[in-house]
Amino acid sequence: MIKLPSFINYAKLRGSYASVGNDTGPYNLYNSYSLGGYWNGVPTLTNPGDLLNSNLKPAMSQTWEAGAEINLFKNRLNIDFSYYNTITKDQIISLQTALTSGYSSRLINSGKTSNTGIELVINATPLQLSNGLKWNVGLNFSRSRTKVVYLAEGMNELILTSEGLEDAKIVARKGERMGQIFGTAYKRVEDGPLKGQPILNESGQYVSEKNHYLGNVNPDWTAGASSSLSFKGFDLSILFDFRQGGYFISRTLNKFVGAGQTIESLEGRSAREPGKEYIDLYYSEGAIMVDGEYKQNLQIFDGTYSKGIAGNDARRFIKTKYDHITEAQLTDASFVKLRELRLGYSLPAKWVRKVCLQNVNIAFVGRDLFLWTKNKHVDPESGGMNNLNLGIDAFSVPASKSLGVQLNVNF
Amino acid sequence: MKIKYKFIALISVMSLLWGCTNNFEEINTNPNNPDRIDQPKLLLSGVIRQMDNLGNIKYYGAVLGNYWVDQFVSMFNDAFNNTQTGQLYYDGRNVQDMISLAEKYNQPYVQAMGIIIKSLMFQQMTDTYGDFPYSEAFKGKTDGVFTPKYDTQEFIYTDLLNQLDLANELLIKNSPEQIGAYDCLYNGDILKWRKFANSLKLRLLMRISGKVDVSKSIEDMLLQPDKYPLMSSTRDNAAISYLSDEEAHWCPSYKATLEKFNSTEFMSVIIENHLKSMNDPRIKVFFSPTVKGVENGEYIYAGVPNCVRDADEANYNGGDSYNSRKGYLFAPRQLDSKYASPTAAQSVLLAYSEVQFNLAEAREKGIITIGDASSYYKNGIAASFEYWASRIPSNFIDMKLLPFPPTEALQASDVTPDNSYYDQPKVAYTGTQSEKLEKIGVQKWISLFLCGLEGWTEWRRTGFPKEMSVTPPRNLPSSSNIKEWPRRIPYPQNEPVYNTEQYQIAVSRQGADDLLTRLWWNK
Repeated sequence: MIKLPSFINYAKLRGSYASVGNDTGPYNLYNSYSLGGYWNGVPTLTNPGDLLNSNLKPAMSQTWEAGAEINLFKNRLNIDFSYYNTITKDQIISLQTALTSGYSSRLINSGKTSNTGIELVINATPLQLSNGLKWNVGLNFSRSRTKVVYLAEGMNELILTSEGLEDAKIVARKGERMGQIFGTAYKRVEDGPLKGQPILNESGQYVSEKNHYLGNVNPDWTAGASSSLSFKGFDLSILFDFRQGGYFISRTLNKFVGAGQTIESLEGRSAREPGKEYIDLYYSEGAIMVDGEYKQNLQIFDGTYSKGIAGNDARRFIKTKYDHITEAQLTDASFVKLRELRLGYSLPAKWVRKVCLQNVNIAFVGRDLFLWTKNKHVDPESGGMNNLNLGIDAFSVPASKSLGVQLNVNF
Repeated sequence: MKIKYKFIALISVMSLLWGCTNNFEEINTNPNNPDRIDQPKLLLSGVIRQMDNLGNIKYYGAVLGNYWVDQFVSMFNDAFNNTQTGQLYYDGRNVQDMISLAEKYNQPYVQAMGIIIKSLMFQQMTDTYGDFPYSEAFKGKTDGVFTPKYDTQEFIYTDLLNQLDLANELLIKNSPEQIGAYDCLYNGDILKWRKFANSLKLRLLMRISGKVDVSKSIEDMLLQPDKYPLMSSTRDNAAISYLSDEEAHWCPSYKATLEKFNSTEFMSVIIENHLKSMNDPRIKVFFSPTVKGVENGEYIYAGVPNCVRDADEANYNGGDSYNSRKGYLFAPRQLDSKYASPTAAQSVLLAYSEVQFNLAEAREKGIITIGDASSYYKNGIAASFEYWASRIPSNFIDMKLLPFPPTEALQASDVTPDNSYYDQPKVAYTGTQSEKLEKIGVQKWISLFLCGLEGWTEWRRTGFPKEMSVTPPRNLPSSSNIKEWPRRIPYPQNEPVYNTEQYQIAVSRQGADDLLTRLWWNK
């Protein structure tokens, strides 16, 4: 045995390998007819547009993981680290097909993805006094990357989500990271003094390019941090969640701007006197072709966009910036959230035991109390980060804060 | 004790393993929905209703046909192909499945009905896009073909004509099939289906008459009316009736929002000018008098040119309430809970009037020598009036009690002209041959109001009404690449992505995949 220094209480190295089969939902082997209602009192049947497959086999995931765990300083500091790699093959995917085949998609076994990641968990007790005062802190961090190695024969792209109305799509593209966002973007000046400026057409509207790479929906990393303090039956704890990186498309933003419901829709209009918002024309900011050369279009006279060619319709002026331009609707999904704040009190044990109970704890709990994120309108967690419509926020239900009282009784 | 438990555990695990393979089929079969049927007629009404001309596909058909206007100029760019055109073939798998099942279970009537609907579907698809997957289409399930090849329009038309003959023959067979209410088009009336098949064949023949000598085919039909019955009155019209029982069965325009009715879909100036110049009472049933006019106690009809911008439209004629909306047959429930009707308008797939106009043109051009062009022409006009008059709900007459009814079409006589209509120079069957052909063309176009794409398609073939040719879409968006009225619709977006190779072969053969490439019969 190796003799460890005395400040190390416990150390462990671990490794594992697993091969697991993944199945699919029930009734995915044989197509069945669905009832399309009754017409004139007789039933009508239809064939669903997804072609099922009676030759499906389970998808296989092979995972190996290596990790280390160490406890230091009389177990006051605990560190756990792991690295994993998962290769998943023959996923059961719904492959989009040409509608002229009669079906919009068909189920097949295909594909290969590789997922690697690290996870780090640190728990520490910086303070522990004999009078019962105890302070714990915890930190966890994880980073994960999934790469699409192969999809299916002749297939370079699988659409994961698409928002047909806004030209944006989230895809799995061969050789790239899972969850890439493609959509329309402003066409920009490639060279010269105005390099990078969005280009306007002759009627003063933005020119857009389709199928432009805009980012990825997945985070670079996520983390959590907690701290708790306990003293004589009282306990106070706080928990933060962090997410760094990743984007989503906000159709909500586009529609709210178009309806004049957000601060962005004040652009230009707010600088004008009430009642005179629509008299002068609006200029969109960007580069415009004049005699074969790009010229700066914006001429701000006292910040009012007082001359221009986008028309004097404020709504149109503002909408052309957002409508059908995925880039303008691209929203950073990074956030910091105060996930939970809790103040509790456990009744003294001698009282509790008299009524044959182990523990009674009453607490005030607040969840999701504060959010710090770049955009002003949408909580990245409710908008676009749910699995049903990954990466696209279309009028998602706003996240709610909750405040409550919690009573825990242990028998 | 312990050993005993282990033994029991082992036995139960083994029995699980066995069970797995034994009931595989049963476990994986959905107990709630059938996976096999031997009554293909269960698919029939769904297949027919997919052809709904007042559903999604009516919209671009009505705009391209210049009956209605569309303010959204973005319609006319390369992205015009969209889910609307997809409607045409979304249901292909059902009609294909119905035909195969009917053949398998020897049910010739259902098989023929499937063939007729599929032919109508492909006629519209090829008239929209040109070359299109046909012989290999819809065979994903049966043959594993997921990238069907494109057939030329000429091939498709040739085969559709054979298919319609086959349908006509199948319908002559004796069969014990009881179809009745499963058929939402003709309630199982086999003779009417035969008339539909032959009338559709006549449509197809006339469409390719500039490319192929169709004289014999049409004359054969006229000489053997027992073998090839054609529609002989408006009662033979192929028109889907909506039902009032539940919302899903209502006419789409009845379900539409008030906003759509009041401020997006207006009468086009092209049809306005034609109807007004002939004092044609169909204007009262196709369109409504302006809201402002009605408020001021006057019936005014005013159209809007196609493709004016949002802002310009607001100024045209003075704004939305100075423009003519759709007629009261198409009124949404939100507009008038008392008189708006879920069943007044029908989805017309092919009407008797079209048959008569086809014969008039064939006779005038000398393609056929049977009958009299002038009679065919007059029959066509009269049939159109008769049809629209018959659609006015009987309770509209009660609006007479209102101080100033919001529509002028209260009863059949309001939209039925007297003989002077037929005698006026713009209508009377007189003049040079080209003048006569124009009269037929214009009347046919009016009669094809809301008959899917047919009005636009006939303009592409005949050039009537002439005004459409000189109406370039205005205010085109920057992404647009056309300067004249569309002649084609680009392929559905799904095709270049998932059927890339075959798509490219078709494009290199037919010409650019845009709005202006002319189809084979239009070249």
